[in-house]
Amino acid sequence: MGMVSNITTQLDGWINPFVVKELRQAVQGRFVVGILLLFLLVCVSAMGLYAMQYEEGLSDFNDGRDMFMFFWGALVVAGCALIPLNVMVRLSKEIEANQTELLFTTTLSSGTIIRGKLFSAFVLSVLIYTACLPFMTLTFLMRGIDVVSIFMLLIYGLIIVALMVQFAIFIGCFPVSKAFKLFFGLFIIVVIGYCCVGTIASAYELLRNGFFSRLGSWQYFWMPTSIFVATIFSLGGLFYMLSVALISPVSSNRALPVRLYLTIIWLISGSVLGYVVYTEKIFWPLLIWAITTTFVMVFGLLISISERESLGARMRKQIPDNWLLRIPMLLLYSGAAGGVLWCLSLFVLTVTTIWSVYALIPSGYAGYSDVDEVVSFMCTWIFYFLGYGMLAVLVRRITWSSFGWRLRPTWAIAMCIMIIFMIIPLMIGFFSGANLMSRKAWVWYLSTPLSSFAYQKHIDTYLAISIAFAVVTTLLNLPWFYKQIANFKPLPPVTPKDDTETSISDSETAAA
Amino acid sequence: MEVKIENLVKHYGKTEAVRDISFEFGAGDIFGFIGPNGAGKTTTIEVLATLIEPTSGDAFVDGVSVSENPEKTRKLIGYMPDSLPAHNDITVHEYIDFFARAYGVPPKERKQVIEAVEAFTNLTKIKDKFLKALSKGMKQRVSLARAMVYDPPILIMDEPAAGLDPRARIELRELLKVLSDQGKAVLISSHILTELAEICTGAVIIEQGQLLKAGTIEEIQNNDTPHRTISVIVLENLDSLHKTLLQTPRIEQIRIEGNQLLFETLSSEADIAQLLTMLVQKGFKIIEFRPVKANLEDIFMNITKGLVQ
Repeated sequence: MGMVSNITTQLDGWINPFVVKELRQAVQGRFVVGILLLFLLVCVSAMGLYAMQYEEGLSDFNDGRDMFMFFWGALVVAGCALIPLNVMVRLSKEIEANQTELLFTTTLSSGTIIRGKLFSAFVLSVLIYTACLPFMTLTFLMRGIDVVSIFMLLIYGLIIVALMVQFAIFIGCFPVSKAFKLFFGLFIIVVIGYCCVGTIASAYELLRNGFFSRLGSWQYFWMPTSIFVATIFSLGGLFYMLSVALISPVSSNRALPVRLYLTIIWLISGSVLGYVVYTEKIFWPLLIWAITTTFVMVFGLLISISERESLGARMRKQIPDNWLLRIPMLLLYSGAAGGVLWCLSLFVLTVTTIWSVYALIPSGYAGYSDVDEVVSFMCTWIFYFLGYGMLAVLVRRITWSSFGWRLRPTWAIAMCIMIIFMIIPLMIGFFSGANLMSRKAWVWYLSTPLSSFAYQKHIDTYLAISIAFAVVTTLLNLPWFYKQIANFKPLPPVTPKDDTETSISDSETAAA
Repeated sequence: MEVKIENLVKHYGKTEAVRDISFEFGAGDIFGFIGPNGAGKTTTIEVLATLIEPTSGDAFVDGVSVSENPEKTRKLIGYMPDSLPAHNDITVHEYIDFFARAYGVPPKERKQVIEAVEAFTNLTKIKDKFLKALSKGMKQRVSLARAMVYDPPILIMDEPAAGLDPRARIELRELLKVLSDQGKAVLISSHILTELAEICTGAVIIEQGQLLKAGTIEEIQNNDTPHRTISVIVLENLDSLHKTLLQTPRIEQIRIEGNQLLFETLSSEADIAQLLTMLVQKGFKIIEFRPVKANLEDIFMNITKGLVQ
């Protein structure tokens, strides 16, 4: 008894406090109990209806599969839609200014809070899955489905649920106004809708093709499954890192885990796909990797330009004294200029990798001939967004400081500038009588990054303009870069003032 | 245990919420943090509670910088915000239990600690009620219990008496006195100056983000009045005393209020002692002769201008 008590006490101390709190709230709240009852009602009704219309001899031996898919669909809706929406709404309420103390005044780390939220939501999903299991067992007796398929689909569903919950947590972490929350809410409903339909459709297809016969095949089962699982977990990991960054205090080094994670994922995925290029003799997986990196870096640029420009004591304390170590830290630590440089560095490394592999492999590899075109598109995109981002920084630096506004949504300014730059040439073209829908109208779309896909013939012009745009705007922001890089230095040790000690400001002034 | 705020500055864009504030308080102190709305009280408290980072300057809790080591200082500070979330699916006990877990109270001690805190804050009878069902006074108690559950040596309270009825205020005052006797350093931001004056050992007065006064109540009261108000009660001949004082140099604004006579003087303590001797020698039967100190409300009204940023 003593040992059991000791173990339970140990476990009690080990459990994430947020899991305990969230599960207690779930048990006492109406939402989870309501969903559970509704879910059981749906399952019982479905089984009842099936029993009522069942006639012996008319079965096509697919009854079990159809019933299973019905239950599984209901599970997906509950796990991928209702639970994540509940988590998102609850979290966004806690993020509200008057309740932030719940998240931020304890000694729990931001990672512990997010893991607690994720795990508690996942436990609730498993609870609903458990309620469904007896009905799913019955479907096995009704023929048309095997145990392996049931097992595989349950795992598949749980993986998707975990991703959706993490995505909902990420959206819930945005510290935005109620109007924006409504917008985000609508956005996530659309995303969840697509996800539910896609998951159910893909599961039906998987079930139709069967699992059991493919279990022994690397090419048709384990490889696609591994890629799928790795992709889902990478994406889930990114949402986790972003959520942690969003709820971390502004004074903390919020960007470090995100940038480090993305760099590691970039490195691992690049290495694995490089190996695939070598073994499978196909080049296109590496091109997909490069395109994905470009898209991520475009988002990275927009986020980076909105980051902090001056570092507080907490961050400066973490900056290493050794200037050699300081260079990679500048790229990885929170900070606008460092973020932009990190995005550009990763992009340059990606292009270098592509060209290096291209130079090493024979020309017969699938996708070999597409390299020039793909790299041109990648560069066009990154330079356009760098140009718009830097222009937004310039506009904000000139105008914002004179207004003294607290918010600095540089990414929003960049998007607004881009929209204006896209619309003005089109309006000029429209009023000058040009046919904007013709293939010759590409010149009116030169400020639109997306249009480079539609006018592939003129990609060189697009590339030249984007490079010129990015170079000019970056040069105009050189003082902005210089100031941040120069200030990226460690803080001298601080102690409370007394008669014998010198304050930080005093010592820094003396050093200056 | 000592809390030091040194040259604290916090800017929000062009708005200077806090401008170069410095003060300190220690174990057993109850410091009132006074200022009109928008003076920078909550900003300073949020810096201390590690919720925001100062633009410059720093605060130190037991020598630990809140800017550099927020996680370390959080363990030393119990923060009581001015509002409590109104969950309808978590009870008082569960809420306090969550904070006990969050602050790492060991599982073996947790039950005892929570029960003790609930008893101390008089929450035992309502521990199974949901937070949403609580009155403002009860919520303040839960907030205090939450801040105390891991026994921090420093308590920071943002408007703890706001919205409380007179009985709840008196109970809160008693709780604070007990906490002070236990050696905790308490910083209270409040508008209710009469409440603060009775329990505070010191005060910090700020306006428009600038520090106007800081120190013990006595220091502030003494500093505030270069001229002293003296109250005299005599057994008889109050009118005669009035006439005598009118002829005495450096005595102003002589007035009779009920059975006492009040006057203002710029004289030193030695001169006042000499005046008392002279009055006794002249045969006045003096029952009481004492300086009247300005209360916190008077000081506040004297030194603030009601300006907001």
